[in-house]
Amino acid sequence: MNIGEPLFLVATLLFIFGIKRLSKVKTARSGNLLSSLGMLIAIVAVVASPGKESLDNAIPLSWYWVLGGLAAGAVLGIILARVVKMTGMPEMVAMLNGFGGAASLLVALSTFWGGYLHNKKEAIGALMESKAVNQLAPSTVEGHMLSVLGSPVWMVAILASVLVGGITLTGSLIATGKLSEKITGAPILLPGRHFIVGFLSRAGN
Amino acid sequence: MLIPLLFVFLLAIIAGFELITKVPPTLHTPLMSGANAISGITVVGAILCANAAPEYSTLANVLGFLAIAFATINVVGGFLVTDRMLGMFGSKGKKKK
Repeated sequence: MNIGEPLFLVATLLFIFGIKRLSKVKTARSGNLLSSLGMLIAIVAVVASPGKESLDNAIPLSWYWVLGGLAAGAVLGIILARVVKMTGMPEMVAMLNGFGGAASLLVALSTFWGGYLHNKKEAIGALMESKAVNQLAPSTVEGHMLSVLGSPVWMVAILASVLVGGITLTGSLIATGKLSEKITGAPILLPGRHFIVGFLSRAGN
Repeated sequence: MLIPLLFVFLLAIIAGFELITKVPPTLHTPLMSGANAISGITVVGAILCANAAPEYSTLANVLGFLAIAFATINVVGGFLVTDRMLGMFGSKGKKKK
């Protein structure tokens, strides 16, 4: 069994009990500590136990990417948390939330790109194997081309992740701007929106 | 593969709902901030993608690197900010007593 799996279980339990303790005034601080411990365990677990497949495919440099990303994020995170004034907390939380959204957006894009290249390689390989490409029925060729996009479940998951991550990112950044009064608190509306909506509602017909 | 994932999703929804339902209003902000820090668990996915990206894709690695950096800011910053908030909270409580 993978070393990481029991550690993930421990991390999950720490998150659940951490949130539980966060919901009572007396235990709130220890709850936060417990959750952060869970996160540390989860990160150690994933760094310590590379998946069976991923290790074969990984380029040697990739561990530098991982450790570099962790270090850069940790330094920036500590600076941001130290520098912010108590009164600036709401916009800081909004901004951090936006970064979280950006992260899931980027994970989805990265997964898509890696998967797309992998599927493309496989599809080309499959086409090459069937030597007489010209004699294949068009539907088969089409099938190979479609498989480049991956399974429907996979695509839906990627699209949902991009959508939610993107909305989280832009929404949180606008919330940050509004909370810090860098942008107006009034609703921001598209100029000529009635015309646009009217046009779009006709365009469907 | 899909069904076990849906099970986890369902259990997570129930756990979240049950944990959050009875929270005093004073704790709403730190709880939101703490939960946001926990949502930085994306960092695990980001690490997997930066590392598992096929050898012929630098782009996937770079995107994974950026994802790790953003997620780690969210995690580290989130927990520290929450701790600062709760620290202030605790000192206030002591003064009252």
